[in-house]
Amino acid sequence: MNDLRRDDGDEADPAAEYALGVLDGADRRAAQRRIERDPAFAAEVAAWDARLAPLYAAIQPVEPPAGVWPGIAGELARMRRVAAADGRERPRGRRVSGIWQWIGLSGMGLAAASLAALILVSGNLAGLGTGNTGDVFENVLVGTLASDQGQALFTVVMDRDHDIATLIPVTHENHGNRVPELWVVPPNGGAPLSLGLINAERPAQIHFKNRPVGEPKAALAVSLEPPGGSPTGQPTGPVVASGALDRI
Amino acid sequence: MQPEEARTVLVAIMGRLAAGDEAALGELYRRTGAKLFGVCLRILNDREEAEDVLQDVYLTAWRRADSFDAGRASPITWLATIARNRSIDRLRQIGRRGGDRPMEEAAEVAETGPSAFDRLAEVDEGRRLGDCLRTLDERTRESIAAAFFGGMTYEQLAAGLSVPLGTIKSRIRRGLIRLKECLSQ
Repeated sequence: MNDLRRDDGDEADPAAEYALGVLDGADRRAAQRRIERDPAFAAEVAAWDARLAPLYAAIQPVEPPAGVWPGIAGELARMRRVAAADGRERPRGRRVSGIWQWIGLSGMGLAAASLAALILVSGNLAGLGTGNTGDVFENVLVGTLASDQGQALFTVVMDRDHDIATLIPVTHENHGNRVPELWVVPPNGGAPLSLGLINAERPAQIHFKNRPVGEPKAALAVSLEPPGGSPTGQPTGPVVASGALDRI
Repeated sequence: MQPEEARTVLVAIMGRLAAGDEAALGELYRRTGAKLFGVCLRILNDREEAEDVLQDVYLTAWRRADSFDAGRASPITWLATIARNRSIDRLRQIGRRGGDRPMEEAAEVAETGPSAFDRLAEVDEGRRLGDCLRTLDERTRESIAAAFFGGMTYEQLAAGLSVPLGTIKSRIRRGLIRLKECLSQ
């Protein structure tokens, strides 16, 4: 037995451990959060994925049941119908259009699991205190902007009485030399509208007067853009967070 | 179809996917569905869960096609990694513990190790990985195989292989360090 040698170079390499899959729920989620915010770590994980990839050759293909593809196609068709019913022209085939269309279409269906937790936050921010939520919050929209993997990155509270959106970063992100830009995606897949650059390190307030963002069921998304913001007026970089807005 | 040819076809499909071409998703599914279902099934060991995750994998591929970079990964590696990670996430979600997987099954997972590695010799990168895995001692190799193919946590491996948690951790960590060194030579 070599157990006595266990101090002999067995330092944890979280990227390798994540890629191999040995981390339990909490450690695994921590690694996934780190992938989102730490490009160097994400690259290490990708390198390990590549090292281990030949192992997939050892897994025999298994024909999936006939019902799986119709399920996938049905989900896509549902989105297409919603887009057609909206009557808008779909975004052109730019590289980012797929995900933006997705955000617009799925925004209304995104689960708002943490909305209840936001009631208190929005109450304080709006200076409304807590109390009867029925009428008081009539004009307050809230949402959570989460990464692809479900990690909440921003919470958003929109006060439509005062045309102010408050954006609260949940986790600090390091985006290198790119800057996060906030977009509103109209329901049913219209083109995203920029709400401006945001500071990922501290809460920010954005005045949205004259911008059609007060609609319930709109989705918000954050993309990474060159310093100064998107040069085209449409998102050009990867989407790091998205979520739907809704009434409390 | 030769592997290189298949890869070229998949890269083209991924490009169409990134541009929002929905028909490309159907082609991708026809060409890769069985492989990815095999991956999901291997990790989850439950057909219904695997079907569910498989659907999620293709919708994820559709959504994330923009982020696929053919210069960094082959399409099938990119997809299989999504499939395996989503399956492991599901496995953790449904909270299956080591004890729920029968001991003999854990051992069986471990036993697939060496024979599974033999099949790696079919491609160059696979041959290198197989050679490096063979430089590890048998127990380390089997533990790494059980982790990769079974989606098992350190705790589950320790229980399944009847060794202390600290032992399995250091065994795998040392194994991964040696693997990295070997592959970089």
